[in-house]
Amino acid sequence: MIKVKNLTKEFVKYEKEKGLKGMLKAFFNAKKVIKKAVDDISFDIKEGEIIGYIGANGAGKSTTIKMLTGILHPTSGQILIDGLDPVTNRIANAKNIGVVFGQRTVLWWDLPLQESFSILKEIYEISDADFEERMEFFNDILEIDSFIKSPVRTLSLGQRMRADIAASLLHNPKILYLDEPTIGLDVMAKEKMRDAIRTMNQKFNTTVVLTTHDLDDIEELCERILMIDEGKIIFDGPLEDIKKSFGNYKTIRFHLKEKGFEDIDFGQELASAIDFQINDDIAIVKVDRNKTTVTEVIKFVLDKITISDIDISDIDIEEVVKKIYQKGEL
Amino acid sequence: MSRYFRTYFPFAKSKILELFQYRMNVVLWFIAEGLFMFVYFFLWKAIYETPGNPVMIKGFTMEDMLIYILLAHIIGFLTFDNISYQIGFDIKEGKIANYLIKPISYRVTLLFISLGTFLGYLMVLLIPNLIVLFTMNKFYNLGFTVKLSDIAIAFALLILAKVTQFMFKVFIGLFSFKLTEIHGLIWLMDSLTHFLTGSLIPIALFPDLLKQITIYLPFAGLIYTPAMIVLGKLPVEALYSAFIIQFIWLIIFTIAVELLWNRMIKRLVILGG
Repeated sequence: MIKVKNLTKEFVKYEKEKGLKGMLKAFFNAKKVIKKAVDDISFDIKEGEIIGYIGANGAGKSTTIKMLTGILHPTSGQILIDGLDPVTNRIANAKNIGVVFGQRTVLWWDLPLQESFSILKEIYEISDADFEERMEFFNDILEIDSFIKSPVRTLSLGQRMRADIAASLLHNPKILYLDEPTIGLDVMAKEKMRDAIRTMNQKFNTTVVLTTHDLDDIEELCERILMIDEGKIIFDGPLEDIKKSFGNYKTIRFHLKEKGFEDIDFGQELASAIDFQINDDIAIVKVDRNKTTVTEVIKFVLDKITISDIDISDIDIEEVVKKIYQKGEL
Repeated sequence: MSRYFRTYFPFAKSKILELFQYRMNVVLWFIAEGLFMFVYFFLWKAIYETPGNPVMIKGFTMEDMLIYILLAHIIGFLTFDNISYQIGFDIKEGKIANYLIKPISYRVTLLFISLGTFLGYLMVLLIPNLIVLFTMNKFYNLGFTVKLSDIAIAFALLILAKVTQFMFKVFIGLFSFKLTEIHGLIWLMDSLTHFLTGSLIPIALFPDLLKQITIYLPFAGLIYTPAMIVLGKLPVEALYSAFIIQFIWLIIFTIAVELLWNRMIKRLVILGG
């Protein structure tokens, strides 16, 4: 469905020196810097797959998505989407794709939401019957009826995202690109978004490319992960593989009531299984669960020092990317 | 063709809806600009009425001049277009992505947004404008009479000039690909064209050389020439050449936009999000 070969995108940046003098200098003679946002990446995505495309901020995720959708022109390399080059055949390709950018809306900001849908209906040449059926479907899973008459600018973030995903699916695209669709959403809204994505994928075999920083999104939706860092693909494979290597870390946050955490003697065995740092009165402890258990560490700490509170969390995706990058590869 | 219209007309419609959504804004803008119209009106009235000044200045009697001022401002209101800002905003804020992910052409979309602006202003402002025109005409005894055939010809030229203006503004707007922030450029162009359309003073009053040049530029057709047609002060030969000049400029700008767009779209940068 999606074939990408040796894709590269370079941006030309003009670097300015600090301060007024630097600005004046840059005004007449700016220093040109070429930055490779995406550096020679290749991958294939099959029809009906849900791909988690992950990487740290600025890793090149959005730039890749923007090239796949035909917004940005690649510096070099090839993209074929369902047999079409999105650069030379942008309009034909656009009929097959749906796009959600979490940070911006495709809806008409000043108009009531339903106007946006009727405008999209005309643009994508959707028949009345299809339109009715799909609106009903969206209403079932995304519950947009309650705010369909409100201007888009008055919607809450959760409502707007639900409307945005409905808008991206209105023409039943073959491929759905979701660029951080759950950013800033609460748990309920996230659940609805995931439901919609899963239902579309199962019902219409829609191919989904999803970028996110939320590990739960990935766990619930994606079978395959593409990981990018500094413009290069550093991992391509099933989620299980990542979990095996990195899912075995957990982070414990101890809210300390007294000083002296750094003086605790963990002993040789336990010390090799944990890694900690202290910020004010919170001690952040990373636990390697291949070597010990979370309960073991908590029990040990509770014996030595008074604690007011504890939270435990999975390691987040940026951490995983960082770890993989430090190691070079999996 | 009708398919084409069905696809893109929603953009015009949404612009009209937007203008109506914020119609108070339009009315306030109309009042603010209207104040300038009165300033010019009474300024010229005072110039003509100063003892010792000629009754006729370069073929304009006081009545001609006052009607010209009113007409020029009315046409100015109805042809107002900020499509350059729209392009600058779309590119700077990355909103252009919203258009590029849809199966539509950005340039045609802009054309319809511009059409929507035109129709919207026509709906909101035509009647108040005509009321002002005819009230002033009656009150100050300006002796202005409407000749429908002249209005039709002026309107035809105006449409041609409006499309040329659109292409010109898109051309300017596309520079935001390179400059990112184009407010300065738009201001410069707006003040230049403001003068060259004849909306401040009739082009007939310009010094000879400047007048000759201005007549061959694409801007006179937007305000000066249509106003002169309605006033019945434009010779027939000048009318033909006005249409031809306008048409040639339209072709030039269309080609320029095409070339610039193809160059610029490759350098599009959208950061974040």
